[in-house]
Amino acid sequence: MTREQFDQLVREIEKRYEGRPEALAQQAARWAWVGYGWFLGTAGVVLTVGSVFLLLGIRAGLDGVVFIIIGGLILVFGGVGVIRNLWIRLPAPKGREVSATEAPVLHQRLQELRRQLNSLPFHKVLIVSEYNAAVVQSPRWGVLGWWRNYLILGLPLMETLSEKEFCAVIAHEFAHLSRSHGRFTHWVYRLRRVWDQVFQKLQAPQEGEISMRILRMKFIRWFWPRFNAHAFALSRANEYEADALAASVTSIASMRSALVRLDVNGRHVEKTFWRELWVLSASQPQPPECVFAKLCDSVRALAGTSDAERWESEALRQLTTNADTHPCLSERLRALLPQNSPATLALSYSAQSSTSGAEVLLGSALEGIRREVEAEWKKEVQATWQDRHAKATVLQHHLSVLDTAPSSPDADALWDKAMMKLELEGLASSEPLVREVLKLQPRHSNACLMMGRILLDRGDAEGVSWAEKSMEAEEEFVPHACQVLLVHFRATGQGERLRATEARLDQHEAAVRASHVERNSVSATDDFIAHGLSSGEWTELQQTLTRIPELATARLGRKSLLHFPTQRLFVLEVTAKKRWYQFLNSELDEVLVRRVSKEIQLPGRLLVFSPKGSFRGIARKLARLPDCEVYRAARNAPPH
Amino acid sequence: MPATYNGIGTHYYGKKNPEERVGTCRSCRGHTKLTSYDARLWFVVLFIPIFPLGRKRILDECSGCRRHYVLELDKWETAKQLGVSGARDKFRSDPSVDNAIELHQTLVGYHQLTDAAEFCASVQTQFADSSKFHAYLGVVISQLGNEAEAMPHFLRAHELRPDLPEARVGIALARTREGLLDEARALLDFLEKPGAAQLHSLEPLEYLADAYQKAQRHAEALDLYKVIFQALPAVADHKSFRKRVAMSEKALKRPESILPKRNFSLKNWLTISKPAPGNSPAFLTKRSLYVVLGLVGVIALVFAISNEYIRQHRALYFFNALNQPVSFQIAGVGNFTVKSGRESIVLTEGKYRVLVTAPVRQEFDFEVRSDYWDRWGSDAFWALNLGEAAILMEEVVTYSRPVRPSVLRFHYGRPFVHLLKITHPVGALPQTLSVRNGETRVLSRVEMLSQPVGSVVRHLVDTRHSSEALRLAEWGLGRSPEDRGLLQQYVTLAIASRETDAAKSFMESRLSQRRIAIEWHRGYQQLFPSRPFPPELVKRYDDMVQSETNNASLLYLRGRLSDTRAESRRWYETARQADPRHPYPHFALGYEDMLAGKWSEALTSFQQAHDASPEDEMFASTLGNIRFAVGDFDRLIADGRSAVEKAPDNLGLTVQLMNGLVAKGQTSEAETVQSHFERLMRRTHREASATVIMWSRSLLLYEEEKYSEMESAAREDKSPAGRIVLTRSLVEQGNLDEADKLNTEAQQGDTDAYHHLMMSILWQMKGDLDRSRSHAQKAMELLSAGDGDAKNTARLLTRPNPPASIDINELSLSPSLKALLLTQLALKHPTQRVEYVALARKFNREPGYPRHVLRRIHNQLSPE
Repeated sequence: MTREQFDQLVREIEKRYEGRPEALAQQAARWAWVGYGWFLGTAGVVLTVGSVFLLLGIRAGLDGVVFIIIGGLILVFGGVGVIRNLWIRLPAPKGREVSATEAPVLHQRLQELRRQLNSLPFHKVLIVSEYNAAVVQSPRWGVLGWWRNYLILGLPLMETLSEKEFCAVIAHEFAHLSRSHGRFTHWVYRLRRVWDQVFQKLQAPQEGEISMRILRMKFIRWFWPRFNAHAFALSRANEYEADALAASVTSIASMRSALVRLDVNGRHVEKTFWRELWVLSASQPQPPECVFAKLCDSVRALAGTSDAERWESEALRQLTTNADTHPCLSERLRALLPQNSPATLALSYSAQSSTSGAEVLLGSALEGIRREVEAEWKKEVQATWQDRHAKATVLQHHLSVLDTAPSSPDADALWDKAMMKLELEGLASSEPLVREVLKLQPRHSNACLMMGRILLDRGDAEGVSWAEKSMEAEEEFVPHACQVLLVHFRATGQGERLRATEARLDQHEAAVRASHVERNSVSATDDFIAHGLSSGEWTELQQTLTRIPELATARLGRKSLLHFPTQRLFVLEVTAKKRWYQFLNSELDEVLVRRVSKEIQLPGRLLVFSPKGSFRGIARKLARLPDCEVYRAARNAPPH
Repeated sequence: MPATYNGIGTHYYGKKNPEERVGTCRSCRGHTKLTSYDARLWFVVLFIPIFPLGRKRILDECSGCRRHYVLELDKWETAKQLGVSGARDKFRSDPSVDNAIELHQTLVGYHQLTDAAEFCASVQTQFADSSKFHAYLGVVISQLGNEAEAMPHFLRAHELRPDLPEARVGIALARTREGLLDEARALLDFLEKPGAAQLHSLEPLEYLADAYQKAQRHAEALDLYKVIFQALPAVADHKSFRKRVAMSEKALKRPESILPKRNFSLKNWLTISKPAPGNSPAFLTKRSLYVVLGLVGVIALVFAISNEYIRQHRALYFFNALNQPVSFQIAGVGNFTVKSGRESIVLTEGKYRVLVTAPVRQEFDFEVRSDYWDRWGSDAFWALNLGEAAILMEEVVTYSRPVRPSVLRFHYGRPFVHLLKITHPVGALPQTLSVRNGETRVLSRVEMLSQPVGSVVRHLVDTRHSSEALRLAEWGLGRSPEDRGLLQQYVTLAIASRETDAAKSFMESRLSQRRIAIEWHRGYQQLFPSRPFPPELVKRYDDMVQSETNNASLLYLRGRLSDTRAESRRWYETARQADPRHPYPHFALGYEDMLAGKWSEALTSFQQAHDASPEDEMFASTLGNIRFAVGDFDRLIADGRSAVEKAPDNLGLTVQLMNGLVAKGQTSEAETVQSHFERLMRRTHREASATVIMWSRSLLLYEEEKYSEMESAAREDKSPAGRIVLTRSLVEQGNLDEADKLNTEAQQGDTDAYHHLMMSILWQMKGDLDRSRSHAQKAMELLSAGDGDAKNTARLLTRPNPPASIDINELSLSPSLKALLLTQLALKHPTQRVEYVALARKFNREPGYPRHVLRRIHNQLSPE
């Protein structure tokens, strides 16, 4: 199913079940049972086939040893294979656990919210280094479930939100596990998350594996988008419901403020802070100290800056797509404040209150927790940091050697240098080199695309035209360029262009697949059209053919292409001059075909053939085309 | 790939447009010459092409292993032309380095090496300053095996871009081959930097390290190996890498390796190669399948060998119960002599013919064979029953908690026995085994029985296997027709189990024998209803008597069929006159006297019968009972002692001796006799002796009037005999309720009319007339449905007038039953009570039940 079809399906589902969440939930449940049925059916087939072989073997006695071995292998390998496929690991989230004795205020607030929302209890509360808060349910028994509930609280988030805002965020997470609301929805959401992993695993090619892959893939391609679309619509509806519930137990103002701050700060942390931090890996062998303190300072210093304006503007313009179950900020705010006009939905991003949520909720434990979370973060990124540092060392070595080159660098050398700079110093630093490449080779597809990325990253819409240019230069760049554009159009709220780009990407992917087959084969079942050569091309062809003395006749046509019709695929039928005793000599034809295919140059792909074997059908079709004969030797001209 | 079998199959012929290159074969991994060419595939017979199967393009045929890829020639041609022309067109429209490289790659990919070389030459000038193009050409040309041609390209690329890794590597490899290792190392310095593996392959570094090693420069080699290991720790899992590192370390005498110790991993061993990035490891790879199939094959082979060993080593047992050595021959195996008991040999499964030559002649085929899977765990047992003389007992013991009784099965009458699940073909089963609660273990053995057939028949009757008992008795009578005890058992059992027709057919065979087998005739006659006897039976014996008017045996047997006692007596007298030494006429006359209560006259006749045939147990036993009845205990004891001395395991003689001793007041000696008998029984019959011991002991206790002990002994015995003894002990103790209950539960006694008659008398004596009537009614029903004497008894009991003593004398009932009948009559006809009781007392002289209870009733009815 293409993106467009999937989007269309989600839209249809949302429309069909608008205002009928229970009906939507029931339909999603039906799809879930189809999935369960398939899992059970697979196991059943293995069990049945294996058992049949075993029984046949046992009944056949001595002669049935082979059956018994086959049955045993099916049962053992099939059984283990089924279990292995279903045995997914959703690792329990890691983090610094916070107990009630350590942070009594936090736990007291959690208990209050839980009671108010009638939510399921959390088995653990973990503090992590991400800028996020989440409920994670981890199955103890893989697909079979038995869930353990975790509340994940990002320390940077706690430190950059006020207590009220942070409580609103937690309340939102609690609402997902509320007994009175959305419990079923959450089951579907969980199932989607688990099956996503299972189906990804099932789709992954496995080297040398013996399996029923074709059948499996057919089912997955049919089932997964349909179940996913229903679960998607259901999950999205659940987000609005969770926002409303959270606002009801905290306040609409807190919820609204938390949503805005979460989005704006998140963008800043992701696009500015972490990116700049990781650039340091090129120069520093170890991760820096006090990263989280710096992160908090960076976020606190954001208010009033141009960056804040940009992130806020982007956050409010961001569109909801089917890449995420969470609706965009503007839609969430609109759902939260239905009476407000779109223009008054957003608050201007203001400075953070002097006391953070972390200070209030964690109290005196904050310092210790911060140290431990940072230590854990350092431990986690240590290996990656060192790898990046080592890689940077090698790249710097290459750069230094490259600078010693006697001649001025060509476009390839400049491009390589730009890529090294990108790795070492970030996107912006490679811009001058990319521009130099484009000066030398204006149609350098990679450079065009890179220029597009650089410009769009800093919010310059001119980047769109560069991405388009890269696609024009080379069709192979369509997927990469479209991905860049999709991110940009989504962030800037350009819905129409977003959908158009998605459609373009879908069409391209389908066309590439189909055209690969179309352009690499010719058979009698294809349609052929007139060659359509220009007079210059025609003259050149005539001249070339005349230079081949053994050529008797030549007919030219074109395969009718459905995909990428601007490309051309010519078919040229040639026959050799032969004396009466040479009629059975096929070697003459082969020699002629080789010579013609080497000497003829036409604007497109070319198949030269003699009308024999499987090419006879093509020749018959070609003969029916008007004006297809492009050459006929004089009757009495000698063959050699 | 085409293949032929004995010259028949498919084969390529022709080799057009050949192209050769040096490369690595993807099948055998050898660096060798790879050839591509056009050929035609033919179906061949004796390698003569018969019909074509199409034109093919053979790709990269390995000169070593001959493996190759193959495509339809037309498809190959189409793909090649379209691919190449497409790349040419792209290059023409945009003659960039990348497009030039793409075209060259396409040409090389389609093995158009000449065209590729021509193309390179044509664009040489155009891209003379392109480091990328030169580096590419260098790599491709060296990959095609032409390192010398590649070198100028690498040098030019390096000159243009000193940093270009491909150029540095290309030159470094060439320097390495030339032996300029340090120069090569300088060029590859970027690969030694940490993190280089993230950007480049370290293969050139490994090549250089190997070259250092070959040049005996182990320190440098080890340095480079260390760099490789640090960048790619997984390389330590590769055997060849470890080997090379070890070689350099050994040369440098390094005490510790730079590599960690390698742990064995089954997963690694089963995985043919690491999966490509992004791919999850396959669970079932071809290699792992081969390995598993290999293991399965090995296991199957081990099983097959063990199966074959078992097949060739089968134990065959021989059982000889003929009491003399048996000689026999098994064709293809050998000659054997089995003296006695059990012996065995080992032979291969198969069909055999056995010829028994002495003392009996017997020839038969047998097959020792198991199904393939049954060879394990079926515990098969094969045996030859030589002369078919042995009874083989299969004992199946279930060891469990609670304890379950063992199961006995008997095998006889077949020369060859095949049994399954015999866990202990030799030796005894363990007395105890440790089992958990709920767990059971079943063990079994086979033993040749030494007991007489009669005791096995009795066991089968006791365990309610009447049909099996009849078959066994028939088999035993076939082997020992003179076994009177077995014959009597057979007849009794046939009547009880209503198998008289089958029994008549069986016994018929011996009736026409010239030497009259009196016991067979007696048994045969018992199978018919008596008084009146069927006319055809009477006629048969009349005819026999007419043919031999002076044959005492026939006269005696004819007398048994008379309708009246007087007539019978006349026949017996005639028989005695015909042969005064013939014991049976004396016995019959004595019996007639005994039935009339004339004990003294009976004693004389029985004595004469015994004198005529002193070895006959029946005569001796009957004489003993008569002696008891007349009170001649001294003679009874004396004869009993000598008889028991001769046959200590004879139950009847032992009981008679004990009866005499008890009657004489020598109770302790009687108990000693019983103890000896018990010990003997236990020793010879072990567990199977329990019922016999209980029975003999109960008879002794009865004579001693120790009914409660008799009851205790009987309660432990759940066999039918045990139920009978228990009922009797209860009756004697006046516990009529329980006796009734016992009979109801066991459904026993319903067929015994006289038991109901006794119960009717006792309930009446106790004053419960309802129950008395109920039993009397049941007794009448059973008697009315019985034979002649039973019907006559019923008539006497139902007659309103008191019957005369002559009517009672006419009945062929034993004295004790007559005493019972008279007791009932005494109760029914109070006017004749004294007379009847007196007569009953005269008959109530036989040892054993119901003598004591009747005596007490008689005393109550008419005190002496």
